[in-house]
Amino acid sequence: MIPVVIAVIFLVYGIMHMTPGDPVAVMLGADATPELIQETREALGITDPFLVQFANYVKNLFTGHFGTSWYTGRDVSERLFAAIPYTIKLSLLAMLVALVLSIPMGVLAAVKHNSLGDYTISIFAMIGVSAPTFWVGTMLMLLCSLGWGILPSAYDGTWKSYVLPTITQGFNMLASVTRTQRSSMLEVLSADYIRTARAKGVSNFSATYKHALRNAIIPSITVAGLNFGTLIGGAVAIETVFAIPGVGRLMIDSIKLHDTPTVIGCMVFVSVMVSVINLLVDLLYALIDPRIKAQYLKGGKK
Amino acid sequence: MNAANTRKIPKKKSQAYEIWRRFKKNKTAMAALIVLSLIILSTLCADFIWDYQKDACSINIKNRLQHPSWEHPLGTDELGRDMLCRLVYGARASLTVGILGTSFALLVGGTLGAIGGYYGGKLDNLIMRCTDVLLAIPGLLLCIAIMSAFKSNVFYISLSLGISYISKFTRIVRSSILSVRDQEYVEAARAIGASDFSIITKHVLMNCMAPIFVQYALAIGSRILSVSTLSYIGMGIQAPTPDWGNMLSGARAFIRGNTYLVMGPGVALLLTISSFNLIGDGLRDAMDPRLKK
Repeated sequence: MIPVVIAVIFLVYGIMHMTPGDPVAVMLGADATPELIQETREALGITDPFLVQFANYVKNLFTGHFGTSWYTGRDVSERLFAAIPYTIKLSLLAMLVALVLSIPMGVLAAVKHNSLGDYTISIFAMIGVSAPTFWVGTMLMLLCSLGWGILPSAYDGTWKSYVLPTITQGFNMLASVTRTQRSSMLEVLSADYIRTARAKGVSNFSATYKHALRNAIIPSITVAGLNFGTLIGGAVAIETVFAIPGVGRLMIDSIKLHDTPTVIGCMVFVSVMVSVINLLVDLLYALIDPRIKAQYLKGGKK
Repeated sequence: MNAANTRKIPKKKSQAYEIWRRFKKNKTAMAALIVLSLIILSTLCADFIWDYQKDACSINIKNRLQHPSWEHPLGTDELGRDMLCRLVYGARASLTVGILGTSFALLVGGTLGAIGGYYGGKLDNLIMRCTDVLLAIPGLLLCIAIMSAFKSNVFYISLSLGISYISKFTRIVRSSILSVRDQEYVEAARAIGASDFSIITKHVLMNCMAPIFVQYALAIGSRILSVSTLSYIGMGIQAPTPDWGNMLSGARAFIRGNTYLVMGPGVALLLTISSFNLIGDGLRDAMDPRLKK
């Protein structure tokens, strides 16, 4: 995982390195002397070759330094660490809501296949997968904040201001996990071993929830894990809609201010987090599915 | 003997026809195909109805924020431009970059996946590690990073949308190639001296087109979603060029009392993206051999 993370940082650093614009000219203003500009450039280290800059950057990362912001002149970590809790809180809440609702909905749609409930859930899920999060957010805001006035439209520090962003952000994941859960459940329910279980006299409830669900839940975990990255990426738009001071908002603001170190910091943070989540999902498989656990153990012995 | 020979053997229908026959039975997928065709048709006919520069881009403050009426079926926006006209031209922008981006991803990702899957070994390992890296960065953030480094024109937007989707195609093509690579007919092709290139393109890829087609349809939908988000946060298609994302972002300050401003572009996005998703689902069902009737 560590090489992947370093490669990710390299990629991000490389892309951002191509960003046009001279930070020093922005920092010092129009009436700076050429000597002063040169001095500041050397102090920032942007005259070094690319690879040297990159090596220094990674070295500093291990000590928790994300470089000096071109906008504030202070360490990037200051503003980044202030923004992280908002994004994490929002993403975890959204994920929790999505998982708690989507698994039962997917199971219900599969068990009552081709019923009215199944159609309703399927249409709902299709809308969730297709609707842009920022539009859903805007519509919810129109309805709940500007229409009924029960929830705040912008972040104000109370728990209420998390409700709409959570729903908005969770909606997409809710929909995709529901779809996966439904189709995998449908597949498993028609499998031979479920018929065998029923023939043996296992109750309908037990056959559905003990035998089928345990196998059918694995694809949902994959989708949920893979979608976590999308979820965090989507936070950029949602934080813009609801004015939440999270990482996504910080990143967009920094791009507009040409504050490249802060942008890199945000990207690095998010990518590392996504890598960690992917690793956790892989470990979770082993916990849930004994077959995969056996595979891991076999691989370890070799 | 003679009778058996003269008995008519029913002509074998092509696989594409079979898939189309099954796809036609899927009502929602057909509806989606019709909706999408109408959207594409409308963007193609737009030039006969409106003048792009005059109606879609130029500012007309006198007409600003007019609610829907006979003259302006979807109202006018904050700068007095007809919403319907901008909506139709917005479809053109979104579809263009969506299709270009997806095709780029398919071309690059598919080639990498085919090479990795067919040859295996160290090369495959290297390609897969590279896709791991690309997968670790959320697609939208990668787009944003690329867009902040380059000018926002159609080429770079498509490029950034494509790059962030390469790894998905690589994985799909690779895994489908792995599933047919060791089959006898591939071995037979090799035995008669076919080159690797012709084996991959003619024999291997032809037999794993189904998942690639499905992914292509789904990918266009997802790319359109991404480009609208990019435009919404101001990093994609720039005003005055109309795009559903930047129309929504322009409307943000005026939504109180002007709900129609967000309805048009939002519903257009929803319809377009869900059409692509439904077509993708329909194709998947039509191509699934287990569902054959």
